[in-house]
Amino acid sequence: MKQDLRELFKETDLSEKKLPMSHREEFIKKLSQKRHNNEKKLSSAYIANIAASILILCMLSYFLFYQNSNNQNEFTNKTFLETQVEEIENTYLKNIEKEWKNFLIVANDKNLIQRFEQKLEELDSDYQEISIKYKKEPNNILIIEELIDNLSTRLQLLKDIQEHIHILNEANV
Amino acid sequence: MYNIKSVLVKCLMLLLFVSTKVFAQKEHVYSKVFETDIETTAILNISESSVSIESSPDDKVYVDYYLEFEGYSIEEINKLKKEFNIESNLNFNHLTILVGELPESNNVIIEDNKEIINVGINRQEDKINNQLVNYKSKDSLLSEIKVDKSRKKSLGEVWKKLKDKISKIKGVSNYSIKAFETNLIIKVPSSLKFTINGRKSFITLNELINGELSINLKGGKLRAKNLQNVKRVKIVDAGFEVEEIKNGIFNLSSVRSGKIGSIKNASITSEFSKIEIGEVKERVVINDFNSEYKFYNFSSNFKQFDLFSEYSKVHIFDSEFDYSFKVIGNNTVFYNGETAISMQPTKNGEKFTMIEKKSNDVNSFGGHINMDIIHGAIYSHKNKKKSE
Repeated sequence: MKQDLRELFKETDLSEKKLPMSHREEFIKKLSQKRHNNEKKLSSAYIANIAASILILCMLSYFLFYQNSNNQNEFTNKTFLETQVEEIENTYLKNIEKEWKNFLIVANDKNLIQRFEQKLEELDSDYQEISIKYKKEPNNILIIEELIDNLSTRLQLLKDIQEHIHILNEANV
Repeated sequence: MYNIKSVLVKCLMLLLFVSTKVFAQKEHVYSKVFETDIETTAILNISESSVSIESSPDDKVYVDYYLEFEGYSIEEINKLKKEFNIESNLNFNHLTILVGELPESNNVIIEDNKEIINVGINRQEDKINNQLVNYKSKDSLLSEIKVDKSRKKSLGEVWKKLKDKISKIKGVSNYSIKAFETNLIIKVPSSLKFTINGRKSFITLNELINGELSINLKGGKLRAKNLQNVKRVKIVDAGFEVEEIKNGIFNLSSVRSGKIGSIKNASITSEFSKIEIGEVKERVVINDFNSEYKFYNFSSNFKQFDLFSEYSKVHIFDSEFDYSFKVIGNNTVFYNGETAISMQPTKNGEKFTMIEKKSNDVNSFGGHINMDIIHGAIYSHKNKKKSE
């Protein structure tokens, strides 16, 4: 059913009511009270939000710090001896790699290269076996000596054969 | 009241300390005896232990296992004693002895260290001076390898030596050394057919075994007074010291300080090894790849010695007796004092006679030395004893 809204309002008695003289002051007073209450409510929520954020930030930084310090502990847990062994191992491995490359340059016999490759693989497999023992007992100097002995043997083998090839080449000049 | 309690606690701690104090201790942990006859065969599988083979006073096999501790507490010793693994049994006239891996390694623990030495790093600088090879008589080499029980160092001596060694390491102030030694003594009748399979073990053969003998060792060391009637001996990455070899087939790989007093009727296949031989006797054949051999002496009647090799370094000393000498080679150099003779590499790897020396004196003729060498270096040294 269609209705004319203008007519609808005409039917009410609103237009006939008269406002009291102090209505303006009362309205302003009520309005200011309402605003004050709202301000009160806003500020406490705001503070709670900030507190929550700070708490989250704290938790996050604690978590990150804890994780990081754990990683750092993992790193610093290595004893001085372990760090040194690691250094020695790296030095040897670098030298073995260097000598292997030099050997490949001077050796022109496939059979020789193959035999040395096989021998070095065997020694490397022994090394892996000793490394397992070393991980269990990283401060045991006898195991450390065994490890270094293995690396030293590989290096010496490569140096010896190059020296041998050098002797032969010199004799053939 | 508090003071009495405190004193009691201190006393208790002292008692604990006393009870856990470390002792040197030797324990006889296993003993068994087996009846055998001429048909009995035996196998020993040993890992990370020491075994000493001795002759039995009768036809029985005696198995005794000893453990020796240095630096361990009584509690630790009792715990370890339970963990050692040894078994032996005789079934259908076949004796099996099993010695398992050690529950833990010998401990040399460095607890506090600063600026510790670079363990072994200096070995990189090691250089072998090929020209400086001193002559050794058979007896002097034998004195280096003699199997003599009295020369064996006690664990206490080893422990003390280790302690001295570690205390000298710069920066190490706090360390503990715990060491133990396992020693298996097997007394066997000389006719026993015996097979030994060892891994990282020290095998000592004090007495002569006439029965068929096979040894397979990876890591550790084999010391023997006499090896004869050897079916097969295979040594890999281990020490090898034998006073006398008579008859047998030997396979030596990565033997770093091989010492053989004398060798007769034997064949050696070797690679990547360093071997010294005091005296070459009758009929010895060597096939080698990239080893270094030192032949100090040849016997008065060695008859024939053959060496076939690739990439080997050979040192040979003038024999006291007359001999013929022939070298066939390709890409090989022969040094005799200041003189060097080289055989240039050929395209197809054909070998040519490099040196041929015929016998001068039939009356004192010892035998023929034949060398067939590819990519090798031979160093002929003067025998000081002879030149004097």
